[in-house]
Amino acid sequence: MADKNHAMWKDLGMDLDTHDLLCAALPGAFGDVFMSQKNRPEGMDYFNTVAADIHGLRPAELIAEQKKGRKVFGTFCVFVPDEVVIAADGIVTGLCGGSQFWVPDGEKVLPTNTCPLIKASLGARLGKTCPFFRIADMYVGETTCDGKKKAYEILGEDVPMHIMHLPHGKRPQDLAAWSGEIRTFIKTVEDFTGNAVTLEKLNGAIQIVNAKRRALERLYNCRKGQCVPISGRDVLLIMQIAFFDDPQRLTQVVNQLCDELEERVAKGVSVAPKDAPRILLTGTPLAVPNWKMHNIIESSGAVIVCEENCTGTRYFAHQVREDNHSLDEAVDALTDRYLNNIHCACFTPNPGRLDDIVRLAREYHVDGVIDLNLKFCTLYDTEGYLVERRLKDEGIPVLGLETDYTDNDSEQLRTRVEAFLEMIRG
Amino acid sequence: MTAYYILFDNHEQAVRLHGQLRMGGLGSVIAPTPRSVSVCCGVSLMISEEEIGAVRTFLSHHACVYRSVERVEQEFNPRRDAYC
Repeated sequence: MADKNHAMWKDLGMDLDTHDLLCAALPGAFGDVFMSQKNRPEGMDYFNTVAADIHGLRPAELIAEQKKGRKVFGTFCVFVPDEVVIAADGIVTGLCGGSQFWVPDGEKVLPTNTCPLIKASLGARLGKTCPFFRIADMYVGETTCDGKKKAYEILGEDVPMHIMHLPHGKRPQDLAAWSGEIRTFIKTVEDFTGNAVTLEKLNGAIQIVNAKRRALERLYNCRKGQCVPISGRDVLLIMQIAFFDDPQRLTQVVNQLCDELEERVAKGVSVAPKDAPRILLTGTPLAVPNWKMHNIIESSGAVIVCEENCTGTRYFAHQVREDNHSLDEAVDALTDRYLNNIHCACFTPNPGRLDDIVRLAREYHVDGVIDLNLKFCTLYDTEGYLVERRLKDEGIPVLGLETDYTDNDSEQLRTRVEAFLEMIRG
Repeated sequence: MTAYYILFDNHEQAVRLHGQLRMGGLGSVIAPTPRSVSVCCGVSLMISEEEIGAVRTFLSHHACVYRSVERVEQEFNPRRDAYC
């Protein structure tokens, strides 16, 4: 297996020696975060397998599909409609970087005071240390923040790039603009793949992605009761894998896992003690393998029962209307789901996110909210003021934290989390 | 803590043996292969010290495909805070 992977990585032009350092760190970190847990659901076997060979299994599948003539599109954001790519028989793979390992290569071309997610994403490409970044035939960026916009210009010098210009409001003219962006994206994908996006194919793709959304929503619903059948760490891993795995296979394995979780709930099998504080995590996304805050929070005695972020509810909430009768209708359905229903901090104003956090806090019966921001993410950092004020008004305890991908601040974060949990416990 | 890792040539072999062991009432955990026993980013099966005897017996009595069984001294510590 090792020889096969190394041959594949070599063919991809990767820096094998440097990449090997990342491979060396994975088993220990995975063991500490995931395998140290007791009583994990058996359905996590699939996700353990994918994670154990994270740079081998799925990349090999993608390359096999490329050899059949299919194109792989790498994306960085939940606003990019996977349905369009799938309708053109393309494959979507998430590309956001979640490791400090990639940050130094990103800092060679980006200001140090750029968020670690952007630095890691560029570093993974330019340092040639991630197979997914080597495999993707085209990258699809979006204008959700200034850092990304400028970073995409640098990436675009190295790889074919399409940018979707996301409006920063939800007025009628913004919906019209986003509809136009989706139409332009359809044309780009059609030209790049050589495949037409027909109504039948787009409706079919909408059904595929909706089924995945329903499965992930079902997974989240399992965490709403007093009995918590799966840890936040395990759900985070599932969500991270959902961004690059085959959507239909992922739907199947998540639904199988949910069968087990619902049975656990019926039998009262919980991964957390009854008095463990229930935490909702909100804020910036947690790209693989960023497991730091989930691990700190849960190994401090709490259990994370919901994530209101792009690697959480924003990824699956709301379906795209199915059975559209024309391509125009289908584009309208995509426009509505993506622009109207994803409440990213890039919008102004963005009251929907505050409402979502409060609603989710009630639905998941949380004891407290942790508002987590990646360093140098001005949008979420600034919106944090409004988030914390609203939660205080609602009587929901809240803790604001800022961090990056380094390990340096772990003890400090742990101290603050433990103090917060102590306060919640009263 | 002592644990044992069963190594394979590919992940299909690991998943198959995992299922075989489960059918035989034996526990195993699909895990990343520790660097101390292999340099690949591969999939292996972790077996506890308590179960390794029964697992070895199972392996010798059934047609199981694997590369080797390795003993590893390890300690999983969620408070180590060493991420990748």
